[in-house]
Amino acid sequence: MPSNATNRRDFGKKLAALAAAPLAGSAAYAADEPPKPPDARAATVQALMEIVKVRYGAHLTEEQMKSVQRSLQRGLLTADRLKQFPLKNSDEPDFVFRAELP
Amino acid sequence: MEITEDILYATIREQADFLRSAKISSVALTKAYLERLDKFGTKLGAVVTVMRDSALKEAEQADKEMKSGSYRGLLHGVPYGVKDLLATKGVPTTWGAEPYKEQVFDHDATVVAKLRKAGAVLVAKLAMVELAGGFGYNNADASFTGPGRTPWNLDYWSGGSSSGPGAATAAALVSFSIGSETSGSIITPAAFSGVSGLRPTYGRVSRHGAMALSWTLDKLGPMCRSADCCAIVLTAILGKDPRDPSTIDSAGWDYSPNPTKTPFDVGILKGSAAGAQPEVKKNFETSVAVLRNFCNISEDVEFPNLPYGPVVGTIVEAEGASAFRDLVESGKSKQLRAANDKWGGYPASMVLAVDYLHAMRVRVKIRQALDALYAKFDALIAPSRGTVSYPIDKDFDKAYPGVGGGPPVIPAGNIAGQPAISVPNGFGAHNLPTGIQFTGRAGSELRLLAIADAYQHASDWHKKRPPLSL
Repeated sequence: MPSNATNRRDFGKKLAALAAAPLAGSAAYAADEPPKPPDARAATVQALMEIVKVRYGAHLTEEQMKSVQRSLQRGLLTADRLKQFPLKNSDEPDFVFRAELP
Repeated sequence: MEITEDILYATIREQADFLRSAKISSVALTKAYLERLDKFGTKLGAVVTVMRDSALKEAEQADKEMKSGSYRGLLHGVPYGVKDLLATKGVPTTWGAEPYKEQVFDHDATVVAKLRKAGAVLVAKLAMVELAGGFGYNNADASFTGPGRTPWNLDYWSGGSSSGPGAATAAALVSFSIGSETSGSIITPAAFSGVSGLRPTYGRVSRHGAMALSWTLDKLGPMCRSADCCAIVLTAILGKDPRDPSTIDSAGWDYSPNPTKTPFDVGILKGSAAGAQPEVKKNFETSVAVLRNFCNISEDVEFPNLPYGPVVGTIVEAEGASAFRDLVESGKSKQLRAANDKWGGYPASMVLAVDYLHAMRVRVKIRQALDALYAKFDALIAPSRGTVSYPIDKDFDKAYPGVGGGPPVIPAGNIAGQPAISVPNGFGAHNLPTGIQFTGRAGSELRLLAIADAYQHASDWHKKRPPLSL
């Protein structure tokens, strides 16, 4: 297993630390929230990286892991940009679920 | 009658005339394309599988039927190719990717079945960017068959992800081809290879039997010598399909090569050519001058400022990671060719459900805003791409730094499921083709085809041939 893999205990500790950090709780999802400051974003990336390591670490080299990290950073910026778009509770996603009628 | 290069580069309508009048046979035409596929297919990185035996059987059958007076229509006996993401019974369907090289399906894609019914002859499964580019490739060498090369200059890319359909159609290795687009994969190779490529309205063409990258974005469409050819092919493959619940009713579809409505109301998107390469800008302006002869042109139409990139990126990542979850979790994505594709599925797998849903909610707003804008026009136009094709040996982001820009027409149209057609409109740096795209509201293909056809009656860029010879 590559050295970037991590064990589940370490992963659990890091996630617990993240949950205690300011801005990482549910308030972070408020619709009118400004983009996360860089330190909060870095902590989120780190948490996601832990998941990547646990789930997929065996498949990735150190170099690829760095690329994944950069991609996750970009992904968070993308998500922040999306969240800045105002939506009401009634704004539904662009697909319709239909029940299977007999 | 000998099969000359003129016949190989002829339009579907012209080839149909030759075939129906028995001046040429489908077998002879098919053999001539097979010869070119053998000669240039690998050199262009355009071909995965040549369907020699089945193609000759289909061609013989077409000749027999036409001789007996049983004529199926304009595609009868005409040879074509499909992007290798369409299932063909008993023949490998590789999705352009090493891990799927041996994959064989027991059924034909609906599009393949419809074209067979129309009498067309399938001569080749054509190359493509692995997995249609869903994992973030950043250079042309992103297929197990190697980079697709534009026949106009072999040091440059044919565009992606429909790289094979673009190159093969441009080099007359086939009469026409079928490509697919999730966000740019028909419009880009049409522009970079110098062919006419139509992205239909989402749901116009059944995706049954096609590789899924993004269920809510994927479309299949024709890549041809002209807008009229695109219309002929689209007419054969469209329609509702119970095996693809996204398909829409096209009952009122009635394509005529001689439209009655002119002038067309056409808008130029503000800033669409401003940051482009000088030749792209000049060719676009020349095209606009041609269009003024039969269009009312509105200048500087503002494109709504909405988060197109984040929406399409989030949707493709989330749906693509789900579609290829088995590949990603097995670690077999390391077998993919492009460096980015080896790891791109992992961050994509980290997209949060709420972010995906947020993107799908913003998508409604985008669709509504674009439809309100497009309702005022028959078409909005822009350069198909801000640059000519990228060199094979450079990463895309290093090819033309600082050049491009303009409104994000391609992701916007794909998010909204709107149609577009790219047709050639000149040449730029390195003898590479440029294109102009006509974009319209959902369901407006007939109008876009009519405008593009009228443009091609007033210009001859679509008739130019790349410098290849046997």
